[in-house]
Amino acid sequence: MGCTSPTDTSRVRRDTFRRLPALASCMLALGCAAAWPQLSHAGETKAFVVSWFHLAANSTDDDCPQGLNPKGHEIMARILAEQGKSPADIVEIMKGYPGNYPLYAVKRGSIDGKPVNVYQNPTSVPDPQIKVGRGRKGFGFNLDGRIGPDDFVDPQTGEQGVDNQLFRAFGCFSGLRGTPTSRPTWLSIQWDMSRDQMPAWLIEISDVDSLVNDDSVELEIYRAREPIFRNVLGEPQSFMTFQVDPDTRMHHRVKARIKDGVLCTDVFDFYMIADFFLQPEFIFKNARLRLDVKQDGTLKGIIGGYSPWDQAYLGLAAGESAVEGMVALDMPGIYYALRRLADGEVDPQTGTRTTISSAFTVEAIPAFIVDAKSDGNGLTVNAVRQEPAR
Amino acid sequence: MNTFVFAKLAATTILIAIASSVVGAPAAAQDTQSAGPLVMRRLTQEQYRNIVQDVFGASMVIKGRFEPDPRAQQLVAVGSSSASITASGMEQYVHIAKGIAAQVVDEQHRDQFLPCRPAAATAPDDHCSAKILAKFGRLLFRRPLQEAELADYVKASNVAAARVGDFYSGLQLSLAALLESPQFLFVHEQMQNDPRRSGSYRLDAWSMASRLSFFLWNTAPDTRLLDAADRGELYTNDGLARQVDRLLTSPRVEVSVRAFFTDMLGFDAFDALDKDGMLYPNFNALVAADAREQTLRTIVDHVLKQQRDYRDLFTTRKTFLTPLLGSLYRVPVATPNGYPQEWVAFEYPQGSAQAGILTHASFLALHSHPGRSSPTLRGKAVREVLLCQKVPDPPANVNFENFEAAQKPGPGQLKTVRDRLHAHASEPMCAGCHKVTDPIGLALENFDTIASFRQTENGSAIDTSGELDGAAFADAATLGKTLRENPQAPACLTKRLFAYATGRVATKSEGEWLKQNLQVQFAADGYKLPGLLRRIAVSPNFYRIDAPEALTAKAD
Repeated sequence: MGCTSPTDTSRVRRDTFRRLPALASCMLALGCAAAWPQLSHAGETKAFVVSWFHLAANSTDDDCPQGLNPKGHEIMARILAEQGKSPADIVEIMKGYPGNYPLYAVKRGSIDGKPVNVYQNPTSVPDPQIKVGRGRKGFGFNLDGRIGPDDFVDPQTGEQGVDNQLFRAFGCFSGLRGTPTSRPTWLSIQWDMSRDQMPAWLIEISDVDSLVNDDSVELEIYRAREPIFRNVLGEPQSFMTFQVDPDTRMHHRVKARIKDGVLCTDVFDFYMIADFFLQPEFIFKNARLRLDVKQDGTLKGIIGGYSPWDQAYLGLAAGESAVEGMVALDMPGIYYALRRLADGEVDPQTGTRTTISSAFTVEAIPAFIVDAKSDGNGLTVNAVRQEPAR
Repeated sequence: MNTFVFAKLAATTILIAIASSVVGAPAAAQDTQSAGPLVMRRLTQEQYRNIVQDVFGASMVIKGRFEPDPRAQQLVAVGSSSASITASGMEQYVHIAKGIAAQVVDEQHRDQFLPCRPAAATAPDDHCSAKILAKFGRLLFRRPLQEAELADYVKASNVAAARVGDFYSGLQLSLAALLESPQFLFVHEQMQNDPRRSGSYRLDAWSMASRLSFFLWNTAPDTRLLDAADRGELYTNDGLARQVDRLLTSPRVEVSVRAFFTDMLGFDAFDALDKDGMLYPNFNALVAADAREQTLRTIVDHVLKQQRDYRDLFTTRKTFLTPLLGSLYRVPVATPNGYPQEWVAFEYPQGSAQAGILTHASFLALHSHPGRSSPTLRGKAVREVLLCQKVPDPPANVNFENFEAAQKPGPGQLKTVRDRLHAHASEPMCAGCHKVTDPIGLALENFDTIASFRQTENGSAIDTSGELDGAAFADAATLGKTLRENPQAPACLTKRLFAYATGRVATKSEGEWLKQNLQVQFAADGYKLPGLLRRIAVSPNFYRIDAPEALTAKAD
């Protein structure tokens, strides 16, 4: 059983930064092969750094009944046809693909008869009506408390009424498809290429009496001052020390509970500055988080909520023709699909929906989090290591 | 004994007493006399680099590959006494020398390095060549060039300059020749009659300067030390003490302390250290470099800056860490700038399992296998590296069947390495050595091959109890305390330091001197390293030479 979508609306908004306990948050994963990670004592704090973050995809063989969206060369051929090129011309021009793709793709938009950058002005071309996902099983949470025709059933928890329209918008692009064991290709590349310079994201679970069942814990999420450091396998190095970024916009605190090794939070609002190569910001309103506490001491789960869909578009379109051609993502098509599928907040002035339901996979590994406070000579270091219970 | 000699002896005794009181020790009895043979040592790579940096500046780029520094009697310093140069090695030295010489005479550097300008840049200049080559020759050969030597180098420079029409090209040739010469690449010790002891020999003044400088600074003598040698001051107790104290109070002594402990602890093995990346992805070359540096920083701070008891290195909870090392030891390490390899002082809490250099990654990882820990290797290292005890090599026909079978999962699996080693040691040919190594190494089994702490192995609790030469311990921390109290530990340090300083193991008479004088004074001094360094450096024994057999035969 996973988290039920709580009706409790006692949201914990981004809190004023509260000074962390003087003792550094420590975690000791003992590498026990057959038992849950050990706690040294009751009320312990466990700290983690996010290792992976990407769309929670559950692509199946039948979730795109009309097939997948066109490949890069097919998009180009269509663009050339729309621009009035003859079939013979198209054949000739395609000989230069993909190198000449930007020549024909970037300024294919038109406003008042003048060519414009289509990525910055996606509605300057007609809606190409991209194919969107039609599957029934998808990760996430029932954000609106209703079970509707477009909702998913979560394959892990069985929860019905799961809202993840972002997955539908992206789900028929081969570069964005994924499964629980195979990350969406382009989205994971974006994350991987960002995390060497992007300050890391931290998760702290405090007041933990048991990592299996505990009906009251507190979960905090912060941005760090440092990026991750890679180990020899190219993954983030575990047990590195991170300092909390003092920017309180990215301090989150929310109540949670752990049942049968699954942590579920109350509803909260999430905000994190990310990276321009990835997405400038990640915002989840009315969010909740579900994390499996794994036996190897890591976390894996889902964060779901309503996200501004223009951010999702920017995260892809910032790469313009390079990404559109390389990953075969029809950018205007994505824009129109996001706008069409948005199911969140309504802008009172325009009457249009500005947010879209979404769910992202979160993976995290053990780390240390320390308070970035200065005593005038640098940071105060409280280098206390929690000894295992003997 | 005539009046002059008696007075000199009395002065020596007084000086020793003064020196001892300066370092806080009670007045010591006169040293037992001892002597040893001459050695000729090849410069180590570090010494070569230090000398080039001292003579030509830190901006000098050294490009090339150095011959490996061999190890003998547990030290590279001793191995250097039996090292020669291969043909390909000589090619590399020539290549490196040419590169350095080219930089010295290039337009960017010549005004900085050269003490004169030629009358004409396109022609030879005897006077200027001689001035330059005499200056560098003295520093590189660690003694003044003889007249004939200098003349040869000047002539070669002039011939080349005339042929090419460029003074600096000719000079470059002779500078490179200085750097390629065995007189530079090898530390030649020269002896002379000791006027204070009829029939005895001592190092000549420049050899004394070299031995002293390589001992305390790990580099060639500087100008001031060579000047003191030129004036004969090193033959006097006052003059020698003055130079010793100058070298000891310089920050440069840290270089030699680092070099000594790097040698003694076998840190050159870090060059080849590797761990299984699939099992231990957190261990990489940067972590290995930090692990090495952690121990060296800890030692330098402890013995040199804080001037604490050497033996406390086995129990101290104070060290220096980077966040990268923190990921290994699983402790938070916050630094001012958050860089992964930024250093901060660190102290483990009371009662921590991490205490003493035996619990550093530099020891634990270095003496382990790529995929698992090794109590045998760790125990052997304690015996050989820290206690100067020899553990025999394993026989060629060791049967590992029992050990390997015991690891396989299944009903018969022996879950901890203690159980597996016990099974292995049931082989009669193996029991003897494992008995002296394994109990020590098993105390460190709470630390895996990359020094991360663990309480269990394959789900079974790890038993770390044991004994060292009859003294029981419960775990790594108490092993450290036991080692601290073992008299062989400081005795071993003294032996290694002497061998490092002289490039050879002690002779019988020197061994007596170490035991009866140096080790006793080291103990009385609270095991403070600077005092030990000074005692060795000011003692006439350090510079006495045994008469070679040929000379004694001739005398007979």
